[in-house]
Amino acid sequence: MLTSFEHYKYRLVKHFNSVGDKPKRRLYSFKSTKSNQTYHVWVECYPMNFYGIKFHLKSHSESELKYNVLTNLKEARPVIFTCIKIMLDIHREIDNSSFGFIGSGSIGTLIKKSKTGELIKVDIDEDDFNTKRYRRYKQIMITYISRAVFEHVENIDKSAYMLIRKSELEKDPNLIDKINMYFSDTYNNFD
Amino acid sequence: MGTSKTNSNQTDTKSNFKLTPNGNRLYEFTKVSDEDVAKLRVKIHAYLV
Repeated sequence: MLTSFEHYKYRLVKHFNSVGDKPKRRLYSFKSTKSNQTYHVWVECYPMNFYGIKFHLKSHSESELKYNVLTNLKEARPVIFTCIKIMLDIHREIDNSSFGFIGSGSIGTLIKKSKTGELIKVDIDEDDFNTKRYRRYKQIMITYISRAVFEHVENIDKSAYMLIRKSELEKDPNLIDKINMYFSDTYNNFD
Repeated sequence: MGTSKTNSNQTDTKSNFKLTPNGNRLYEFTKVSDEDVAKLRVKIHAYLV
């Protein structure tokens, strides 16, 4: 059961202006005290005050699979919590913000303990549907983000999750449809 | 013999998704319900917001 909220210290590295089809973005960075690995967190700023959150290992920055690769570092929880802290900073800074993320399908070899305690390797290549990452993110969101403040909405087929600020939904009941429409028209792969 | 093409139980895979006015596939989102939350067995809510 998730009860504590341990996270790493992070910093805002840089603001990036919109270039081509890339939205305005912010880059945050933090270092894991467990693995000594540095992570990059990208916050993408879309219309309708919608912010997409993504993260990957800095060492995977140039990889096309940076959001899919299994790291086997066993530190998902504090890493996810750090991303949530960044999201909450924006929540406080921008009082009409809503958020979203995708639980990318995992690719790679998972190293885990068998029932007998032996380390075993399992090859994984998930598609977009209801991914392992997505299921974990969803449970964390339900635990830590009140449905009184944000409407939690999901698309399991694409493993996509959105937190739509209820105060904005009251102003515009079609906000969820508008955001869906924007992403469906702008990003063919919805990623 | 056979089943009427208008039978509502039939599934037409082409109509399983909606399109945006611009002709792109619309990825629809659904609200996470109380039932969904119950399935997740989240017993302790530690809301940060």
